[in-house]
Amino acid sequence: MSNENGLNRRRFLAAASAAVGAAGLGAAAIPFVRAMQPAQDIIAAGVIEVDLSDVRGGEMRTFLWRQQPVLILRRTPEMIERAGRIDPGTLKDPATPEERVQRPEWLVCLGVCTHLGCVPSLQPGRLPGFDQPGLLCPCHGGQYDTLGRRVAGPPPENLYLLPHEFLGDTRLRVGAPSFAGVSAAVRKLENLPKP
Amino acid sequence: MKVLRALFLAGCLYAVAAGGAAAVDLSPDSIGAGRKLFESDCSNCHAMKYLGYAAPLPPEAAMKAFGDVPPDLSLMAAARGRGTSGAEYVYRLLTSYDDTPRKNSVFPDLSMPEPIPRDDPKLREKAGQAAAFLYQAAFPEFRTRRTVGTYVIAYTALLTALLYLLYRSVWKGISHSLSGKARGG
Amino acid sequence: MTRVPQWLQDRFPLRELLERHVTEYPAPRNLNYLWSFGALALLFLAIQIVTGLWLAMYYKPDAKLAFDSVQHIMRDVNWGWLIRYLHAVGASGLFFVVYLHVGRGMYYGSYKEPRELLWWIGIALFFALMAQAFTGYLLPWGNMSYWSATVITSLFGVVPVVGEQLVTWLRGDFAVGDATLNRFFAFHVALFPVAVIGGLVVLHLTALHRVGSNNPEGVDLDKHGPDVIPFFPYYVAKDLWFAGLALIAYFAVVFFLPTYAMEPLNWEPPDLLATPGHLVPEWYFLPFYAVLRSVPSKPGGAVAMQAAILIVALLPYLDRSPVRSARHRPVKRVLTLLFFVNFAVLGWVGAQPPSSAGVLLAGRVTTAIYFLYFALLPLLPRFERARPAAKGRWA
Repeated sequence: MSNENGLNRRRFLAAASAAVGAAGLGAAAIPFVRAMQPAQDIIAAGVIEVDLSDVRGGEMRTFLWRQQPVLILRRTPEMIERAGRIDPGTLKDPATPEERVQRPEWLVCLGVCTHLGCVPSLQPGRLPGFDQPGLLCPCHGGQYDTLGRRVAGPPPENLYLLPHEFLGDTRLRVGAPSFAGVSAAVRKLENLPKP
Repeated sequence: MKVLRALFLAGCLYAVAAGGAAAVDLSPDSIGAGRKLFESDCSNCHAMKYLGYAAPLPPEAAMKAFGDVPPDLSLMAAARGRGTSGAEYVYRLLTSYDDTPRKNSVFPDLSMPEPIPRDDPKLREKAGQAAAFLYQAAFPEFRTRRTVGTYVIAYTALLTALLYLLYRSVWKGISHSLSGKARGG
Repeated sequence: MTRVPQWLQDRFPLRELLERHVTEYPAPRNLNYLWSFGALALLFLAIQIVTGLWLAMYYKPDAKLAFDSVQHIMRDVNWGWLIRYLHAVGASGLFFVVYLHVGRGMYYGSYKEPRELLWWIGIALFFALMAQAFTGYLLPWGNMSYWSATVITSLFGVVPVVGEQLVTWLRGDFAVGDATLNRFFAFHVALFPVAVIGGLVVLHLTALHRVGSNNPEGVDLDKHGPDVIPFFPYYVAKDLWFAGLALIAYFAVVFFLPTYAMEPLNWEPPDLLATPGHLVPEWYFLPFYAVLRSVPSKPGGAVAMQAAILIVALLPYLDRSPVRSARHRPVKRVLTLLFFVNFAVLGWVGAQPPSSAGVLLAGRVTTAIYFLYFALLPLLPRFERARPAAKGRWA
């Protein structure tokens, strides 16, 4: 009889130890998993400031943020008006101008073509097949308007957006600590985290 | 063996307690005040590269002025002693300037001129705050470390207790001694 | 009966392996806690490998970058400070349990026939462990890292004829530098852990399972008789709780006293123009460092230091008594305990600045006592009355 009790006690203790031990091992794994996530200096480098004062109307600048290309396009009144005439309903990835830019004069987006990742360049004259300027991707001919919306070619989505904040009229704060960039695949301003 | 381990742990706890009760107050207010002191009185000569304070003096200028290059202070509290004794070293250094020909009786012939005036009524308080700031600079994780450590050790003690009971229950009725036959007698 | 799915059992001898080496493996019933230190050594080795792997994800083995990369780990990597402290304190923990493990072997005569080969594999393991610790210590590229690497690599210069070339070859440069750092990283991460410690541990356990564990009485036991019990569950249960106790002590140091296992001077980058006033290796090397310094000549010191470790390999032949365990040998018992105390004093001597005459004398006396132990052992059977009932063999 006491043998039976002894065996039960042993089984209970074994099960309890295993459960507590497993919980401990799970908890112990957390620092090791977290240690492989981006370190604090990478997180801190996620926010940078850019000077806009030397960008003139109709010009585009490209710079690196978190090793990813970012485009800043200073849109002329003609660009703003022409792009505003496109019916969003006809786009493959519908979006209105208000969903794409905080200030109509400035397009701020990631310069990574949503097809296969090349960097699109500015076509200040006319995009092939369109009567307004835009961005042309050299690799497979994808075309975007001056709001970075896909208008022709293989890209499936509009150019991705990243968090940005205007500091006065000449400086721009770009990025957010944990924002990944291209892999977040954000195409509308409302889905962006705060910088 | 168990006694030895218990004594070792008790010794550890004593060392922790003793180490904490020193002239260096590690409260957030003290450390904050220490940072301000560093920025106003120390950062004109000393860098702290890991905290983002760059070296203000070019080495040649420093050599000419002091005969030595002011060292980076990011890790000074760690480099001058184990536990908190490195921070206490800094405290002693700052409070030992005197009128002897070698300027500082505890650390003779220091190249650094007196950073906090001897007659400052808050000399000890300021030195303690500066030392505390340097401690945190060297060990930025110390508060988290102690908190997490408490939980980890408590958990491990619980698990060990369970495992000990399991051991006793597994060995219940099992003899720890040889049967006597092996003794050949 | 060990439960293993039949599918697996048809393709892999898992059940046989588990039964032979764990669930039905015979172990003496009278083992005390000193027998748990081998398992603890395996635990600490596993901790070092895991934490070391994680550190290697961020550490940069370049003389210009190494020190900063360690600070990056301590300040920017999530939980990096914890992984670093686990590794630094873990090295001390590993040596602590290994010394107790070896001490058990010396006291209870675990080196005697048929365990000589097991003993020698263990000594090879100890050498590998020292090389692992030595190469690892250079990696943080602190002031003490640099200077202790300089001193120890220069010791190889005592080899006749090729000594100086050997030193240069080891360092990859005419002084310890970036070339040395990079190759020490390769040795520390790839050579010693995997090829040597991994291989030697397997050999060590294989040899052990061939001859079986010794026991505190030092007598041979019938592995089918009443004096053995299966390793599982009895010693698994015992080792598990004792490991818990060891982990409590380990965590106490990691979380509350980590810098007590770390040399303060190593928190500064190397000063190539000024050797630190007081060069000190990590505590686990101190006794051998004391032996090195006790002999006035450089070659003599190097030879004596090596001899101090290698002489342990001769124990199976120096100890001529038919009785294994010091429990039943009153003279060997006292001598061995004195040896351990002397070893600790030697360690203290190694930590002192070499300047004072008293320390120098203490060093020479303790070194002499160290070697005297091995010289006396063969003579013991002449006058020691060991208890006949405790002879190593069955009557």
